[in-house]
Amino acid sequence: MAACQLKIELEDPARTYVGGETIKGFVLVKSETDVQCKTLELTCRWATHGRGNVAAGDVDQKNLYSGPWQTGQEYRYPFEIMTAKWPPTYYGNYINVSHYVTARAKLPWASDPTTEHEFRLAAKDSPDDLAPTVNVVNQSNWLLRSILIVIAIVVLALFVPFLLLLAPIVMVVGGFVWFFRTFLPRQVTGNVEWVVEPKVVSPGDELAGVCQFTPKWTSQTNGITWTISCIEKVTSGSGSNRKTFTHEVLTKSMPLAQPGMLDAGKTQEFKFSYSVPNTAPPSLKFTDNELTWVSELRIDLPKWPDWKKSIPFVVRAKSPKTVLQNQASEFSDGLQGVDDDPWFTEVLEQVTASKDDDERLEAVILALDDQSFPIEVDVQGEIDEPFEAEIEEEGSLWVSAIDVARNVPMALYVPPSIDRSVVLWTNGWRGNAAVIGFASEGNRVMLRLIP
Amino acid sequence: MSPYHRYNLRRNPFGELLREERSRLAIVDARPWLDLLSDRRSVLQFIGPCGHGKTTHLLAIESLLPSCQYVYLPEFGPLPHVSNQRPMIIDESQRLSFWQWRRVLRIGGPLVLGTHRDDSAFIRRAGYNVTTIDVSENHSSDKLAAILNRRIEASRLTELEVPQISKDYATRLQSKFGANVRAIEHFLYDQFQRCALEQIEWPHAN
Repeated sequence: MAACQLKIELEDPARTYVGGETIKGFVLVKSETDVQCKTLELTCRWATHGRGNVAAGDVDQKNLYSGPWQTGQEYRYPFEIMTAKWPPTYYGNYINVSHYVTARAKLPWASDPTTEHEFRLAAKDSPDDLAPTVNVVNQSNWLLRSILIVIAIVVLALFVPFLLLLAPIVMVVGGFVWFFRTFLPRQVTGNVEWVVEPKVVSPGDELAGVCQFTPKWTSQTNGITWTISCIEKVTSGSGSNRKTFTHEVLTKSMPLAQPGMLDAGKTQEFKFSYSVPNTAPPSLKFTDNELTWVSELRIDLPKWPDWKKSIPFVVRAKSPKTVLQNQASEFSDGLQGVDDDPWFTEVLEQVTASKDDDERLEAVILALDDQSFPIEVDVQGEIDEPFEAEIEEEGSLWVSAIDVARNVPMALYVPPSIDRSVVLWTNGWRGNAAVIGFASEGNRVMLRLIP
Repeated sequence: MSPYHRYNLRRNPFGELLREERSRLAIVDARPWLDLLSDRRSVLQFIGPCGHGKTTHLLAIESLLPSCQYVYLPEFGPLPHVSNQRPMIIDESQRLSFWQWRRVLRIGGPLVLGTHRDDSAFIRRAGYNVTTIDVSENHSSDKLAAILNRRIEASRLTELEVPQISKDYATRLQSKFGANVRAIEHFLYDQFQRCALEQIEWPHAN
């Protein structure tokens, strides 16, 4: 049995703290035996967890007490400790960032009892380099940097002869890649000028772009597409066990031009914009974990290498004001919009609850009798026809979407009579739809849009 | 709120761990091998394919021998300096060059090796006693369940109950992945994550 038990109580445990703010609370100690505490140490720290190698940083540290504790006694130590400015709390698929207050009692000749309390943190702003707050208090950064610089110089010196041997091979491979990915497509499209602004956006902001080019040859195109992607990329293990995993958090493809002809010498210009969702996760960057946002333009040329280029951009952390407003709304009676149509909410719940019972699901769908419901959805992008779907007409498509008010994932069937580009382009698309089933892949409620 | 708190867990239990934590969670009783490692002509060799627990065995021995040196030989790039310190643990020892092998064996043991290739004949010719442990053998479903439940336990949030992997489920995992614990952990990571984000019960196939 441990010599003592520790517990942390925060003054407001449910609160989301703002980066750099001081967090207040108490460390409670219940002593099981007479013991001399060398130090009761309190640390505020952050750490990543998930598929990638762990990154962590101590932000602030305090010594709360040193001295004797007596058997059966309880002690209460108030504390105030500074939180990190960056990174914010994030829960994703491969990357998670958590913030903790950790208490540790250093005892002589015994294992040190430890406890920790997780709290939620929102950042005021993203730093330009996305570098996390780390080792602010008790680490000599200059020493660490000097050691890293020396190691880098030694490694570089060891690698130089190796690099010289590899250089010709790298140049040949690089030449091939350049020839197929840049030179050949440019023979058709000419020089493509592509600008996306701004390079740093906040959730809810508009990202705008212009693409302009004058084709050198008259040729066919299968379409021009602009895609926005948010990707978690992590690396786990080291050496030969090192593996990289990626997960698409969000992908949205927007057609800028339909299949057709590109006439030689005729300048083509496309303007486009994208409203960054309010729920967009912020760009994150750690040694082996990163969350990146990328904008990609692709000119699809049949029987020829496509022209494509990616431009990364940074999504700032959601402002603490927005986070706190969202937090407040979670405690309100219901999300805005849900009460507008409680029957539709009930239908979605019934369909989701029946997903593993085919007979019950069929009964629910039949009972709805093709009834239509007004919906407002954020369309994420085109998807393959769900396995369970039984309708498919020429010119139709399936898209994945999220119901704005209820946060329910949906698979929407867009019939040919509805302008697909309007659906794909519009954030917060509004229209009418009938519930037609449940798609097991992605756990989505299937709906058919009604023109 | 964290999506993992629903299961009384702090995180996905099958995610990447810090090396110290991985060593602490190893279910390997390394003490019987310590006697072997008191002999300077002794080599203990752990052999098996990727993901079957070679490094876990080496870390367990390292935790009992704080004075030993642990060397990991990477696949690419220059190999690290292999010092004269003994006992020495060499992970991925199949990557030692002929000249490095000569130097390591000239200095003497005891040595602990983690390798994909059985080098016992070669090492014996240099006058060493070699003990080979095949880490892919003797993996019972009980042991697998214990390994996985220990990872879950290490992610516990409060004193309340945490999910458990049953012996039946461990048997099913073994029939699918064999003794490759790393593959099982990767599979369970994805499965748990999906359940956590969709807020459904886990493990549903227990």
